[in-house]
Amino acid sequence: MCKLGQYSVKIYRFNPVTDDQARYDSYTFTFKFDHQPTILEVLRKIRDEHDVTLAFRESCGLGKCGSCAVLMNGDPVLACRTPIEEEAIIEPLANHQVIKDLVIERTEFYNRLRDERVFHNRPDYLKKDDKPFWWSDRFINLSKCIGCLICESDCPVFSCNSSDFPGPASFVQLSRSLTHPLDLGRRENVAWIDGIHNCTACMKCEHVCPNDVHPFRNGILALRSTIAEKELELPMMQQRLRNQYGKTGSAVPTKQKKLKHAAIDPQSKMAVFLGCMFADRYPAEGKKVLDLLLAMGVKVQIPDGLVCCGGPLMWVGDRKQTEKAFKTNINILINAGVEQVITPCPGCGVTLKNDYNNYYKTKKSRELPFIIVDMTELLANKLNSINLKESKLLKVAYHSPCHHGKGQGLLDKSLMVLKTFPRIEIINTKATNMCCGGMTSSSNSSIGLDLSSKIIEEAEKVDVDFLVTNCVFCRDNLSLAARRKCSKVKIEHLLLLTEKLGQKNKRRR
Amino acid sequence: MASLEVKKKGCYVIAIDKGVIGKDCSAVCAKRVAATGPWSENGDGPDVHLEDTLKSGCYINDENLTKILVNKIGRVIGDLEKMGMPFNRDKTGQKIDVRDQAPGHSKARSIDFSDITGKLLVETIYAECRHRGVKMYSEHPAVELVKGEDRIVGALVLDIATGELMFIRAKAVIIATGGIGRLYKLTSNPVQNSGDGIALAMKVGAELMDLEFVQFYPVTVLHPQILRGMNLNSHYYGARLYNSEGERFMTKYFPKEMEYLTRDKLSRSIFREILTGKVGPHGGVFLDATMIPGDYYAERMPIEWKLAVSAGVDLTKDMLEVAPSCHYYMGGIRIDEKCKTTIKGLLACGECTSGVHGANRLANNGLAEALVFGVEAGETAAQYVSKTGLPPYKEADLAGRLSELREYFSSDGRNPMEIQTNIQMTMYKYVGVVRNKETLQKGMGLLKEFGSYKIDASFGEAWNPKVLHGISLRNMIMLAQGIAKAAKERKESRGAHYRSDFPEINDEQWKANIIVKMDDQGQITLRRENVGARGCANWDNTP
Repeated sequence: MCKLGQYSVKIYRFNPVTDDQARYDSYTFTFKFDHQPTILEVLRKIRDEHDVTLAFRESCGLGKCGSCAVLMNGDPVLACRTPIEEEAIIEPLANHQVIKDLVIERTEFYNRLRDERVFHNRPDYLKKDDKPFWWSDRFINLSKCIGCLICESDCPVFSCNSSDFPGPASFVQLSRSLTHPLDLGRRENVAWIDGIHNCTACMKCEHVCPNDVHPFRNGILALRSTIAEKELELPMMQQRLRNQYGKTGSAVPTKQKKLKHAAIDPQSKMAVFLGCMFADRYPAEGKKVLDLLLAMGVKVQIPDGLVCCGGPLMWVGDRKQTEKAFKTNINILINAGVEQVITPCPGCGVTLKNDYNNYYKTKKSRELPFIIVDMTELLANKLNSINLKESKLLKVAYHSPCHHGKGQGLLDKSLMVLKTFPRIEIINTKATNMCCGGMTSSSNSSIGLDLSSKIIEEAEKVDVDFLVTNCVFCRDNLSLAARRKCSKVKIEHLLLLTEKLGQKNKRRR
Repeated sequence: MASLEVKKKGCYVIAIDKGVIGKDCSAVCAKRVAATGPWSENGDGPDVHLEDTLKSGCYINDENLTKILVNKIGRVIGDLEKMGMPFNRDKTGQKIDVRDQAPGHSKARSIDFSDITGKLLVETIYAECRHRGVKMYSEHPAVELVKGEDRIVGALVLDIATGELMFIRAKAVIIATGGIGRLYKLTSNPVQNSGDGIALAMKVGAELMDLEFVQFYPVTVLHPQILRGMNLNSHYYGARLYNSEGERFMTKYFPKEMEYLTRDKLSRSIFREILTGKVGPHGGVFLDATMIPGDYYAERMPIEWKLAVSAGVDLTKDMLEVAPSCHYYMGGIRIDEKCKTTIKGLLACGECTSGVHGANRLANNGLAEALVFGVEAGETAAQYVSKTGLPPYKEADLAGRLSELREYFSSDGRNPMEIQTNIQMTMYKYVGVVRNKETLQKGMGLLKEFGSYKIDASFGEAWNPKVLHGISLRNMIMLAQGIAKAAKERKESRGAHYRSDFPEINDEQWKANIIVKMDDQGQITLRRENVGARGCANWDNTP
């Protein structure tokens, strides 16, 4: 069963006291193994056999303490639990001060917990009442946090400004205290002051957590809901969103009239959920999406009375209105008798796929009777049906929206669609997985702008013609940043670009 | 716990830790606490708990300490609940749920929360410490205790982040450094646990006791590496052990019980089989747990299960290479009921002390000990420091220690990692689960040689692993010599101590404790004392 494996590992070395800049030491090993070696194993090997001065933290070696978190090829992981890749670059966690090599400063995290007064708050003079209580699932889930700081390493807002946003790990601890049945601390107030509304809802923390804690769902959302319930003041834009929904049933100020289009067939078993952006804010673009559906030979219906998917409301913390939106939409879609719901909006997609199902399951304890398909998925399956025009050679970078790439795992599908475009060169940049800070813009526009500017800078570095994305929010945010920076980079929506290229082809024929 | 208690009494306290505070052995290894209280079932109480503990300790426990443990743990659990510590609730939601009866306990009294009890206990206590303003310093190991004329005057502490030494003056020092897992090749303890506190106390002349009793856990994964150090209990659920020739070797040792044995007996059998040389490529025997369904692991040990899955190990199909591992240390610093050691101003609590568990620790009593005696030590220390002034110290005391250190670190010294591996192998082989006169003799010879080596390291470099491992190496060698010597002295087999040349328990001669002390010349001396003899000086009343 033994195999030989070649590993080439590059390790970040930096001593801030003596070195001007970091260097990377390369090591090549041949490992005889029957199971893949872990990163920690390789680090120990290097320290014991090659360079005793290599500094890294380790403690239990079993993934229980969270001391050994590092970056492997840019992804934050626990070194003791992650098999090493054949070519790996090992770096310290991002967004933290480096003490030496792979060792980061952790004291700031503990100081934050101290400042947030994360301790059990129940004065001794209160008599213990004998009310029965149990530990909720949320409390147990949050208790599993091992403080490895991996979520802080991947958090876009934390990377921008840790004084405006203390990071998901701190909010996990705050929310845990909030969920403690005997705790009397006003955790929501602390969270409010600490800038919980600056979270951009990218949910990266949910995906990187090695212990399956839900820092966003159980941490940040729980705190935001409490803030909304206690009627604390929300950031202006987020408050406006709540008000608008109350008036129009949409996340934008004006509700458009019903669309008329050749792709609409009320008898179809497929429905399209355009979302507030395509249906109400940019109805002209909504029509183009329907054009594209028509070009793919898909007929859809748009049932009457659909409202906002509820995602933005949920992320703001308005649990009441969210549930109302969920209920309305689910009822309408079930009554319309559809089997598939197509959505062009990643935000709607992630809400429909995860939260609608969860909601329906808890209420009716069975699965939703329809499935949700993101439009890029559909497009990837039906690419043959569209003839794309040969344009001049275009250099393109792709930005994957958080709710699309990580949220629904559709990065591959988008790249697949892009690759079939004739004469397009896709350039790999860091911009692919960065967050544009869409949601943060609604509370702290400067952080939002910072984040999107970073993406534009990445795109400028490689000198691309277009930065393609599949989310209207991302597009608007990035366009704004590009305009502010007077950048030449143009932002395009993947679906609209496909439609455009297909359209020209038709005309020429 | 101790520092929290001191702070509660209004004294100034700082807590230093060799690793990152909150990421210690209690946090990663401890799963349950044995405690009696309002949640106990009928007929259970401190008396029954005491009897169980004494029986497990082969009646050489310091009964006064054990009594404190069983009597106070219930109250401490209540206090922890007030600090926000969650414990599983029963169906009515009114009280704590006691589910499992741990082996060795006559009643079910193990309380827990999910599988993260230890982690949450530590977190809860640290949150409270932060709140009360205890100053806490991570990665500041104590390098030396500094002793004045008759008492401890402070400690030399290394700041790992800068590599600088500093001297912290104090009226009293509490040692709570935990176990000695890293003295052995295979252990479930985290890397920090190398018995530093015990060795430091030994160096200033404090009495140590029961050093020969090291508890081994029988079935710990040796390979694959990703699971190394993980304790398995699947042998209680039908898993079988094989040697490299595919022979179910337990038929030789215990044909009746097979794998369903207590920890010490199973450890011994596996270790003997390893000595025959019929072992896998990494020096262990094979565990076949394929008859146990995956759901069992997923439910009981979610973290380990995920770990295995991520490494491509299918616990339901693959055989694992296992061996006994160092799990807990019953021996350590000798304390009295107030947690005072024999040196004035020096206190100790937790796993680094001795007497509570006797010759073998009862399951789930470890966390209980840490909690109860943490409180005790804190109370005593607070009482003592409020009555006494800052002890005077002479430059000479400190200078002696410093020159010793400088001699030890030299540029033509050896790589500390290499020596560390050698110590671990030596201890495992010669001072391990099964000992006899020859192996102990051999082990002592090797350890003496390691003790003469110098280490290639120097202070002043930021985060230098050489310094960190170098200083603990010195402690490891010293303690290891003590263990070997005490093990050689005890010519019987009792609890966790097993001599193949004296395989029987000998109550007539050996119902006693071995006291280990380092004399002024740096020689380790042994003394036998009857169980329960009070040897600790009463320095409490002499300001």
